Amino acid sequence: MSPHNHPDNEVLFSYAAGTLRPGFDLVVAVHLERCGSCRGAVASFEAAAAELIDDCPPAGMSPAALSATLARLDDEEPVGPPPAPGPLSDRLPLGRKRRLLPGAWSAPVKVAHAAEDRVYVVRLARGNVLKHGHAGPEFGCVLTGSLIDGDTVFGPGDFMAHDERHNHHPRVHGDDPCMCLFATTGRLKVDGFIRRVMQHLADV
Amino acid sequence: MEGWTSPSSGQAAPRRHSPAISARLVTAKVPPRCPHEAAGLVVAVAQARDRDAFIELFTWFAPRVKGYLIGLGTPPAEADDIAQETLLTVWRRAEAYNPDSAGAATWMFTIARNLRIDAIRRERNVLAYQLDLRSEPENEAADEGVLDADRQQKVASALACLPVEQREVVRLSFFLDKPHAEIAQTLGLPLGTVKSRVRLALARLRGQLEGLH
Repeated sequence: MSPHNHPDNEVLFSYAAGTLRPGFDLVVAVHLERCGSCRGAVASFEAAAAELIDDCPPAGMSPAALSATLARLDDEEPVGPPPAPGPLSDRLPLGRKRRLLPGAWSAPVKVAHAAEDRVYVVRLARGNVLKHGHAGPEFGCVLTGSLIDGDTVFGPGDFMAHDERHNHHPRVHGDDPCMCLFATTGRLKVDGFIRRVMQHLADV
Repeated sequence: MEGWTSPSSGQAAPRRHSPAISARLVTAKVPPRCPHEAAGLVVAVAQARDRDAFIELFTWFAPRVKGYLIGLGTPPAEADDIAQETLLTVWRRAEAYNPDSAGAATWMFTIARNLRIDAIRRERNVLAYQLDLRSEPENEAADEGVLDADRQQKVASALACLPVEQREVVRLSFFLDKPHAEIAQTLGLPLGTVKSRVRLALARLRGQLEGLH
């Protein structure tokens, strides 16, 4: 089933232009794997970016650049396209899992990101509530199961974006556990002392 | 909502407009080439290892890649290296390029973009694993009811039809990675106007291909 909640066009254009924060681009990439419509938009925005390069002032290459590059051509073996790897969401390199509650854990994703950001996968069990606000933007994508936030249900592949103005309390929808990938700027602002201790332990 | 773009580019912003760089940009003599001819050159490289075709591609594309990278805050020397590496990758991977799946300019742009992202990740030095996040367009199936081969042409016409002021805010937002507030100040426009121009421009670019307009 195709996702119902998508990144907006600005996020998709930034992805196409290569200017999303490291880690945040991973969340968008996981959504794109499951969303043909957004892949189409990214392909269009990549084509637009290629056209817009012509509007940017070209910068003169260093005098030796062409000859240096030509000298290296003989060493280059032609290569075909790389083999298609499996789905990104199955290959997320997770760090050590930290237990949050019975049946719930979080684990950092080992990808490059800014020191002040967090990129992590969280698994929640039936009935769990993820009660938090943000110090900055947060991108999320549901990997398995579903969450309900207000009236909106987020299923597999659904994309979620929030910023510091939002305090939201998504909870697991239905009986199945739910796994999500998140990228967050700054640490989460978690309500309550016990939760803050849990957060410290979970490093999110 | 903003704040989700790469912080590295913002930090390097003051370098963008140094007088030395501006002077070089003005004097750079680059023969203009239509990007739509690039496909034939890439195919010539793939089929015949054609060095003259490669030199043409280099002459057209390398200075533009370097300009794009400098605009996003890459230091000029590193931008020069990445532009050379982009063209070497074009030489190496030319056989993988499929003219039916993407425009050559788009294909080369994604190579340059990905090399830039790799360079940023290396700088951060926190990368434990290389996740192959991005692939060139030929590996991705998109379903917006448009053949990829037509996409470049359609996007080019959509861009050409955009009002100049919309095209300009899109370029400033994404190629100089400037926050909307800064663009508003530079252009002397209210912030809301800049935001709505970006939104309109992107919706039109996308809508053109979905047949909504």
